[in-house]
Amino acid sequence: MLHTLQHFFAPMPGHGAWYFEKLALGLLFMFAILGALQLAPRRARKGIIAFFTFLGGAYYAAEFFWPTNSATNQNFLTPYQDTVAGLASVVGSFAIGLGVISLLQNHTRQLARRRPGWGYSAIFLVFFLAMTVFGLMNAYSAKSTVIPAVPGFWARQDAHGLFQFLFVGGLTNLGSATFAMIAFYIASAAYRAFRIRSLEATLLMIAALIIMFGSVSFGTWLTHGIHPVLADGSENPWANLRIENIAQWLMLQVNTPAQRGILFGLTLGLLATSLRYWLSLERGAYFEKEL
Amino acid sequence: MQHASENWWVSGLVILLSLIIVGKVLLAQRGRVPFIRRISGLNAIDEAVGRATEMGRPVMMVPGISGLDVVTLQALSIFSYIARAVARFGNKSIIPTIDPIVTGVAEETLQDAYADAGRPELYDSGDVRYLTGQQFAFASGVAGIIVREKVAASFLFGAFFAESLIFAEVGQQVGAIQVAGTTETNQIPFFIAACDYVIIGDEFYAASAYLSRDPTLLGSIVGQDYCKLLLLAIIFLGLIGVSLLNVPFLAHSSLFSHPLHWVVDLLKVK
Repeated sequence: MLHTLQHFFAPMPGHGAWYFEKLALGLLFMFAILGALQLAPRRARKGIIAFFTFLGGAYYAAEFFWPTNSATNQNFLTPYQDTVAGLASVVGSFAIGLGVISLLQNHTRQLARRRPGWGYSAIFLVFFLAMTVFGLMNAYSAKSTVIPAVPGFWARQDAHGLFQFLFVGGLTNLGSATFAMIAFYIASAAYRAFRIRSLEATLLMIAALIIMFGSVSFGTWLTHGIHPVLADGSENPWANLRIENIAQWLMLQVNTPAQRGILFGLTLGLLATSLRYWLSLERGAYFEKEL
Repeated sequence: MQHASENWWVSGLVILLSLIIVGKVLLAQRGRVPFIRRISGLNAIDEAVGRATEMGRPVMMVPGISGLDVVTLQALSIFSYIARAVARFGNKSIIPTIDPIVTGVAEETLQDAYADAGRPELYDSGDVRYLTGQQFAFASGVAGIIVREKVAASFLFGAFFAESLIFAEVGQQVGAIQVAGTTETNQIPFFIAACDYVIIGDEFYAASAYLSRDPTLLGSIVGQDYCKLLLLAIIFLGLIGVSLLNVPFLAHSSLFSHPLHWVVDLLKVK
């Protein structure tokens, strides 16, 4: 029994009985915390959450500000970084079931009520099942032949082959196809953005044209007559008007400062919001509700 | 691995900025509520929700594609306000998610918003939909929802990456009013090209303060503005220092060059 469990949860060598003891203890501990949180009154629950939020933030703040050993660039808190980060993964792993339940609920409901697009839900459920089965078989019985009785193409397929067929052949390729569609969306969005309706749109279009021409050989050919060096060997000041130089000027002197300005604001916004959450200054879940 | 000891000057600056923000929040909580300017993109929320209700079509809100972080929480707090407006109008909200943890928080947010608006019976657990953990599968899923449900208003707030244009263009194709805001500066031009209203930069973090008028949030926004002034002063100081060091007379004068070098070295990013 233990061997079967070990094979299922930890196919890697090196995990003994202690591994399962720790696993069971960890699960018990987590369920105890979740149960206590559920039983606690709403006011107390928020206090507990605020305390642990502060504790988590305080660890990272202390780790950052505590002086480090110059040789190792570490302080006494640094070695625990992985452990603290692992806690977030534990909470996340509990939520995976939530995602699966949400998916199955939505699609079975869609199918049962024959809502528009129910066929997609049926396809989803079939492939969800197939990926689960072949994914598990791929992990735990990679060498087994799935359909040995059928001759021809299928006879050569093992669990790994079928999993790869679904994952690489299906999911990865469909993802790439969706990504590729962005090219068409860029064209239609650019058409609307560059229509000359206002002074801003006109400036945008001119800037975009310069950047595009500055990036292609045809564009640089247009101004290749302006030589960067004069006959006497000195720099030609008119070379600044070469289209690639104007494009570079636009990117470095106009675009970059604007982006940095936005980033300054964003970083300060992030700092302020993080401080509000960390110190629980923003009372209640959201907005008006007071703690 | 970065530590404060690598650059105490910058670390001290972070502490100073934090103190300014927290100080302003505490002052606002004690009754000194500041004024903040109008943000046109956020004024359009009620208009978009009202229009969706008139058309009998749902409102969609996408909280980006990152996990449960500060950016997503901020997006959900904006959606909390929007969902309340949607509930008041008696309409339906759809929130597709890419992360199971975000799904749970979004469900709570939507449920609370409908209850606060006095319409808890309108909340449907199927309105918060976990789609997938894959970026482009999520993009396809959201595009499918936009087209099938014919959403009339689409709110895109959070961290978006290459899929941003897919959401915005598909929304444009079905004629939805779209309001977007993201912390990813590279995606802002795509949203500007395809959406009706875009909130830029720190307006994303100011949105919840603007919508709720909560003193804590308003104080935080003013604190951020004071921090911006401080940063601008530092940039200006660096600019003057570097410029003066290029003046031969000052650069060779021991009286001026030493303090100027000290200031410029202090402000250099190491």
